[in-house]
Amino acid sequence: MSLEDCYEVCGGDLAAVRGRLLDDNRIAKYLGFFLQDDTYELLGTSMAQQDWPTAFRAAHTLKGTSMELGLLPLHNAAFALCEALRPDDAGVPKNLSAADELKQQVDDAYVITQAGIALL
Amino acid sequence: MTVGSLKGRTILIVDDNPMNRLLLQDIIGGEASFVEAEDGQQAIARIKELGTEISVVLLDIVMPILNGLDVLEFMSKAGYVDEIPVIMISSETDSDIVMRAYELGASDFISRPFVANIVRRRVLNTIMLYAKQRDLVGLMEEQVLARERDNMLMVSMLSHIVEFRNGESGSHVTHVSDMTRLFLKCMGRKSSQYYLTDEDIRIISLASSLHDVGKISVPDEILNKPGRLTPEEFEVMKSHTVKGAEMLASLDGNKDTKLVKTAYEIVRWHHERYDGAGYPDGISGDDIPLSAQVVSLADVYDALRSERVYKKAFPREKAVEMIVGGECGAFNPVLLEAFIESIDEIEEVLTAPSDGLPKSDVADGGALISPRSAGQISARTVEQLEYERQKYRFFASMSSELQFEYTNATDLLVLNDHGPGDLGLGEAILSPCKDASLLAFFGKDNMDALLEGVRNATPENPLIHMKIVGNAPSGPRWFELTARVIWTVSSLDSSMSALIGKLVDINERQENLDKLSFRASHDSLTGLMNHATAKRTIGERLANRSDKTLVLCVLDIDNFKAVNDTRGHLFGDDILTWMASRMGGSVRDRDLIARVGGDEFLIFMEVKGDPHMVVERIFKRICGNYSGWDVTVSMGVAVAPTEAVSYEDLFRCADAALYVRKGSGRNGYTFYEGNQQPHPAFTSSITPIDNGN
Repeated sequence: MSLEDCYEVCGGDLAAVRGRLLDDNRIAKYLGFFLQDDTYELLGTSMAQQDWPTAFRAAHTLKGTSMELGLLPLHNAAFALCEALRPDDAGVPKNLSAADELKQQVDDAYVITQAGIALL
Repeated sequence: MTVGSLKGRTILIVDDNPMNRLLLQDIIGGEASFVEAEDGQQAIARIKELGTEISVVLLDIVMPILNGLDVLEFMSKAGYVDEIPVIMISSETDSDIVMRAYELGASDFISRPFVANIVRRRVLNTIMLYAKQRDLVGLMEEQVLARERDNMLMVSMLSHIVEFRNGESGSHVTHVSDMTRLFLKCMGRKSSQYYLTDEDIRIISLASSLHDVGKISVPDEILNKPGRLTPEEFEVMKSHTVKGAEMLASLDGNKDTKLVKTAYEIVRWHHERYDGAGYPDGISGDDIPLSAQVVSLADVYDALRSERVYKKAFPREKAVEMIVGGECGAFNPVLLEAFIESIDEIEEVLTAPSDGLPKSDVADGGALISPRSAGQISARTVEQLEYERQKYRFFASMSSELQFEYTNATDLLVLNDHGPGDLGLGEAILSPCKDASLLAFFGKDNMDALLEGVRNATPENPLIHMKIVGNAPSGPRWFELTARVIWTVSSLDSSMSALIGKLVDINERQENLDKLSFRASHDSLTGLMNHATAKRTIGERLANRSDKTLVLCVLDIDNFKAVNDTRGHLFGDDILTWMASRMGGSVRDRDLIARVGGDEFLIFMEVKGDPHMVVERIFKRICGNYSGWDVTVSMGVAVAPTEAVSYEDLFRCADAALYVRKGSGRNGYTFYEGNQQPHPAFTSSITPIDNGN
C-alpha cells in the first residue's frame, strides 16, 4: 500500500505533509509512531476519571500530532474537543457539556485514521 | 565548532510528547546533539546542569507540572535568556501567549505544524546569531584583556625604571600592588564604608605601581647618595610626591581617566599619615584618599620586611609590632585591622617568587618578561628610614641627648651625638671598655658602675639608670644615662648581645636642683646651714658617731640689739655675714656651722682628746673688730656623752650653758657641766662655771 492510499482512507492532505516534512520515509515512520503513541488512550482514561487538565493536554497533543501528519478529520475533531476542554481563567473546562459528544467524534475519526495507517 | 553549522551544538528539546521530540530531532538533523526534557521541571534541571553548553532550547508551551512559560520565566529571572536562545514551539496561536513569551525573552516562535526546512533554518539562525554574539563578546574580552596587559606592562616598565634608578629590587612594586589588593578586599569586608568593586580595586592596585614615579625628577646624586641626606637634599627627595603628581596632571587628554586620577592620589599622598604628620600636604584622616592610605601601609611594610645593605629584614613580628605601635606613623584603624587580619596572605605574597608583575584578576597567566635584579638596595626605603631618622634626630637634638649602641659581637660602641655640645668622643669606639677618651669622659668609677649594672640586668629588668658627672671638654657636667640590655634568643643563657641607650645632658637641671636644695637647707643671708638642716645632719652624726669627742657650741653675738639700734639693721646684717665667715675660717671642713636664728649660731665638731683647747682657739678667732665695732660672743658648750644622746638633749645642754654664760657676764664661754666629762675647772653642780676670760 502507498501513502496515497493511506491518506485516501484517513482523509488527509498528503501533498501538504510532503511539502513540510519533505521525505516519504519520514512520513511513513511517524505515521507508525502515531499508532504506537498512547495519547489517545490517555485522553480516554482521563476523561473517564474526569481529570480535565490531563484530558485537555491529551486532546491538545493529539491535535498537534495529527496536524503534524496532516490527518485532517482527526485533527479537526481533536481541535474541537481541545477547545471544549481548555480551562478558563478559573481552571474549569470551558464547555464540558459538549465534551462527550466531541469525544465521540474524536473516537470515530481515530478509528478511521487507525484503519488508514494500518493499510501501510 | 564552526559558525553556520550545527556540528557540536547541543540542543535541548522540551516537549511532553515523545513523538514531537523525535520528529524535531529528525528535522534538525544528526549533526547536533540533543538533550530531551518531558516537562518544565526536567527542562530547568537540564538548563541548570548544562548551562551555556546548550546552544538553543526548543520549548513547548503546554506541558504537565511546569509549562513552557514557567520555564521561560525561570530562565529570564536567572539570566539564562541572555546566554541561551529559546525558540517556543507550539500550535498555540493565541497572541497573548506569543507576546508573553517574547516579553520573557524568547528569541523566536515556531508554530506547528512544522515545516522542516523552516524549523531547521530558524534553529540554525538563532544559534548562529547567539554564537556570533558570544564570540564577539569573547573577542572583545580578549582585546580588552590584551590592552589591559599592555597597560600593565607599560605601568610595570615605567615603575621598574624608577626602581632601577633607585637601585631597588624589582619586586617592591609587585609587593605593594599585591598588598594593596589584599588590604582593600579585607577593608571592604570589614566596613561598607570602604567597600570597593573588583574593578575599583583592580585600578588602585594597578595605579599603586606608580607610587614613586616622581622619583624620576630626583637627581641621581641625591637618589643614590650612600650616606645621610642633608635637610636640603631630603626636601628634594620629599618633592617626588608633588613632582610625580604634577607629571600625571599634565597628561593631556588622559588625566580624567580613572587610572590616572587614582595614580595621582597615590603618587601625591602616599607619604601622608592618618594623623596629619605626613607630607607633602599634611592632610589627615579620610581626607587622604583610601588608595593612598592603603599604598602607604603596603609601601612601609614591604620596606620593613626587605633586606637592605644597612639593615637586615625585620622579622614579621617585629615589623608588625613597629607598624601597629605607630613607629612608622599613624594609619587608619580599619586599615590596621585589615593589615593584621590579612598578614598571613601578605606574607605569602612577600615570600612567593615574583614574576615582577602585579597580579591582576584579568591579567593572570600573562607571560610577561620582567627585568629583575636581586639584592639591590631600595632607595625608597632608605628615604623612608631616613625620614624616620631625621625625625628622631630632631627630637633628640631638642632634648640634648647622645644615643649609643654597643654590640657585643663586634665590641663596637656607636655614638650618635645629636646634642648641642661636643663631648670629644668619636662616632665609633672599638673596645670601649679600654678606650682612653671614653674613660677620660666617663671616669673609671662610672664605667665600673655601668658594667656592674649590665651584669645585674635581667630580661625582666633590663634597664639601667645612672646619674653621672662626665668630663666634657667644657668642664664637668651632669648627665643622666639610661640604657637597656638586649639579649637575643641565642644569647639569653650567656651574655648580653647589645646595650643601647642615651646620655642626656642634665647639667642645667642638676644645677637648678642643687641651687634649690641649697636654698632649702641654708640661710639666705649668711649662706650657712639653717637650723633644721643642722639638726638633721648632727642627728645623723650622733647616731653614727666614731670614738671622737662630739662638741656642740651655741653662741650669741653680745649686745646685738645695740648694733641694730645704733648702726642700723643693714650693719647688723653685715655683722652677721662677717661673723659667719669668721666662723667658717675658724673650723675645719668636717666641722659644721649653722645659723640657728637671729644672732644665734652653732658649731658642731668632732675633736680628738680634750675639747677645751679647741673651743678656746675658736672663741678667740671669731671675736674681733668689724668696721669699728668690737664684736664679742657668748658661747655655751656641751660635750656629747659616750652613750646615745639626741640632738635636742645636746642642744638643750649647750643652750643652758649659754644662758649661764650670759648671766655671769658676756664675752666668754661656759662648758655645760656633765658627769661624763669631768674637768677640774667645772664645779660639781649643774651651774657651769666660767673658765674663760
